[in-house]
Amino acid sequence: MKILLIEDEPELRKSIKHFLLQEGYVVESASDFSKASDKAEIYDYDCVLVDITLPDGNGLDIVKQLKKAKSKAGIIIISAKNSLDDKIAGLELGADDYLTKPFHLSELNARIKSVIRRMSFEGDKEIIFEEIKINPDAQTVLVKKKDISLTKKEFDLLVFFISNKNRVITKESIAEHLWGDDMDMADSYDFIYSHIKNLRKKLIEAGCEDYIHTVYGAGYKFGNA
Amino acid sequence: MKLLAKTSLIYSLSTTLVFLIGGLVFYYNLRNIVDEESTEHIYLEKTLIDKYVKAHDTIPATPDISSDFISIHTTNKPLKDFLRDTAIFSKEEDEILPYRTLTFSILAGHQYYVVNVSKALFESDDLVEAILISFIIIIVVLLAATFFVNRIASKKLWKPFFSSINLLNEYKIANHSELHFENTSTSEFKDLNMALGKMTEKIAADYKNLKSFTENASHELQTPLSVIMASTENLLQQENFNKKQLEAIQSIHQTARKLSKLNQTLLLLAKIENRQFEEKENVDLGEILKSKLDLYAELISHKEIKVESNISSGIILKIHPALAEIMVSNLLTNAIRYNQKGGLISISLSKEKLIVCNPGEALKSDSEKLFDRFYKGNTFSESTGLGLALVKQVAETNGMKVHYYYKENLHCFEINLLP
Repeated sequence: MKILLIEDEPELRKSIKHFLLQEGYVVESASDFSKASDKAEIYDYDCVLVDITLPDGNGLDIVKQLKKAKSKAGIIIISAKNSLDDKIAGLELGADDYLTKPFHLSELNARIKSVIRRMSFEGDKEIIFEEIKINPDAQTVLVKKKDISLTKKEFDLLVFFISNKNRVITKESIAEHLWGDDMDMADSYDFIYSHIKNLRKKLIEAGCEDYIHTVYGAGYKFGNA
Repeated sequence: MKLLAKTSLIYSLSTTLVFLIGGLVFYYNLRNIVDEESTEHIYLEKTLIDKYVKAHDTIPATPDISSDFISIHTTNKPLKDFLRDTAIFSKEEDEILPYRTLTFSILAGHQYYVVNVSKALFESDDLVEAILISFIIIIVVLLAATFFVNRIASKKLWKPFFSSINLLNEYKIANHSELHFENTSTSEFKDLNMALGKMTEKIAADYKNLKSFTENASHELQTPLSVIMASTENLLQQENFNKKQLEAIQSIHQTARKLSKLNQTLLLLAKIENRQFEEKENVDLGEILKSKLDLYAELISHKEIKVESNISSGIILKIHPALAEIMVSNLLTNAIRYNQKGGLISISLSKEKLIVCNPGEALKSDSEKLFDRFYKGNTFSESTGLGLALVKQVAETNGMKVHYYYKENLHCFEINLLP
């Protein structure tokens, strides 16, 4: 999987790049509009992360350029502006998602995977982790080929966990992923705890290994211990 | 009172006063002139009689001048001329009329005669009446004329003024539209329009600057916060930290996120205040309530909160959809956050109002402070203290009113939907 990261702030570019490399992507980065435009012209990417405000141009023009060239890359706009107009403009131009800065890297990861999944062929749309098989379109989960029933939130949580497998995920990023931006309740963390407990119970009852681990002081980690 | 009515009133009062004084002066002058004429006439009569007597040495038999009373009778000694005003009863008119009488003596044929020449004076009452009536007619006609002329002329003259006022009333700074005032030849209005034009341009420019400043400031803050969040999240992935170190990193991460939310919410408040959400649509409030209740359903059931809702369907608000969602979700999250385990949320939506209630102890402080920015009833560290301020701001910029009341152990927030 090849990703183009267009971001002018060097520290943020470094952090995101580091994270994406860890996730096993091939990452190219561009710090300004002209470099980004050149790279988007020459190479093919699976996903392009584009910041709207660049020192020498508008990221939305890169979206236009990619769409004009009929690129198959998934496009995620990253913007510091939480502006509805920009969001609508970006999505209308053909971007696949819009993420407002600052964001949790685990959220970015989940969005990238979801975008790539949507772009790929039918067979690749399933999410498979060990004995767990998820069909995001049908919203079904199979454990050892047996259907298990999850609530909508538990399902979203499982997909989020698998998208970020083997990574420490903070409670906030889970809360925001499940309830969106207007969620900032203290007791929602308590709720997440019981939610995760339920999901874990359902998975284990279905014969799954226990993949959900608590990382003390930080959050949770999904994966082989 | 309208300016036009005020000037008309002053004008009418002063006109009436002037006419009153004028009428009095007119009356006295006229009476003097008429009286003098009468006196002159009487003396003329005397001269005529004198001439006659001189010529004929006898008294004229009958007076020539019909309108005047002339009476002649004998006396034994000459009199001095004597002019006096008398009143004589007139049979014809059946009233007492004023007369001026000159009494003089004349010698004719060795006999002294007393001659009384009387002449009718103007009847004061009649004169006053005539003058009063004519003046009242003049005043009424004049006032009516000035009133209508004023009305028509003023309407035309003040038209540019009222059109400027209309323009100003409709002016919305967030629309970025320039004001185009009506052309006028009146220099006062020209000056006014020019001043208004300059002022609005200046305000619009300042507004634009301020707006871009807040947006830029917020943007500039979000990027470093993103760096902190991304770096700490990367750090969390490293396996060689102990629990304490991880907690510290997590706390930095969490605080950076909180800071950015605070920043975003303040920016949102500023944007609502600056009326940057003017693209209004018809929004079904009941649908929003239901979808938000759905979103928080698991959270609500986790707290074992019972929801009692009475939501009328088809309640349509004309509002920016994002703002309607912000208002509803903040009301609901507030009711969830400050609820007790096993508590209750009561929601009622009707054509007139939306009421959201949750149980809790009575407030210790002023309830109006609830809507202040950064006010926190209980010190929930996770809350920004901006939620209710947002609700109020959204409601008020859309012509609705929010108020809080405490009744039967319930905290209630009521939004009057009708303006």
